[in-house]
Amino acid sequence: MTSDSATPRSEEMEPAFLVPDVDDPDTRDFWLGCARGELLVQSCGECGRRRMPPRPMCPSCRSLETTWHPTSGRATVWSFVVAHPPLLPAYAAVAPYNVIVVALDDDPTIRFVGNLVEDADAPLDSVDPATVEIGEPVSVVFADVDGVTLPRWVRT
Amino acid sequence: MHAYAQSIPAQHQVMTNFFTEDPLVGPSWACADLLWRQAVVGPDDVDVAQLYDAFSPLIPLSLEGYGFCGRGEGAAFTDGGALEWPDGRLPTNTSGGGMSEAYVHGFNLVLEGVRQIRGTSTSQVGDATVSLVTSGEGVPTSAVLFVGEPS
Ligand SMILES: [Zn+2]
Repeated sequence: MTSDSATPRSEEMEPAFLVPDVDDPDTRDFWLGCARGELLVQSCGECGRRRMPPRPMCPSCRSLETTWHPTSGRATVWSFVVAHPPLLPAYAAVAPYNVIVVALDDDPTIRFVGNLVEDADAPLDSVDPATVEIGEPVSVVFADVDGVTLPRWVRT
Repeated sequence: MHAYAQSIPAQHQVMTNFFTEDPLVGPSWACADLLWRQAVVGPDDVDVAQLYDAFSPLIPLSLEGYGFCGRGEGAAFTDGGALEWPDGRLPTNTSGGGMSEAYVHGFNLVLEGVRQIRGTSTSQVGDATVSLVTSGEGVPTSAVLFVGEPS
């Protein structure tokens, strides 16, 4: 950082959610799946082992061959936290809210980090965080957030 | 210095270890395996420990990882003043550690681990001859074991 113009002052920052780079070569297929309403998991093209998060090489056999497979989108809550400020402005506005880790029913060693919400387009604080329970069943839904389709979770 | 080890387990992701087959088994387990293999002493022989405590949960996880108790038993291990100086089962962070002495990335823990072996700590543990110092659980980690002569 050498010039003041490179660092916007906080009051000039747009309050916005952080969205992922959907054009990363390792994760592009995952985000394309989300846009179609499918929760995809990467698998090794040689030995078939699933892996999450996506990455170029299989940890079992070191193959660089990759395939993608749809999942049932059903999962259980493995753990969760409740986020409180200080947070970035867009998140502070909806705090406290939950952040959950879910384990897929198809393969419980495959986990995703996300939010439990009332329905796909509901705000992050739409589920009372005091009611979230480890082990409760959830299903994936998809929401458009600032132009990116993100997976979220609802109770089943 | 009796033994030292450093480790990062396969497929570990720093501070976001939700994705391994058992997210509750972290780098300390792999580091402990290397450390104890080099040592003529084991967890039961440790007189005093300095466990990296940048976050409170690192203490129970480190107790589990270095073999003072089993997986999931770290919190219960601390019951009944087990980590307290001078009479606990395993006096821990006797100079205050990262939370109560200084956060200098664990250097102070190494100093205190040496003082315990030299008999010069302000919170000296009796005749401490085996002193463990660890780096942080949840990230690529390391540990050192100091062993002194019985006085
Ligand atoms: Zn493979």
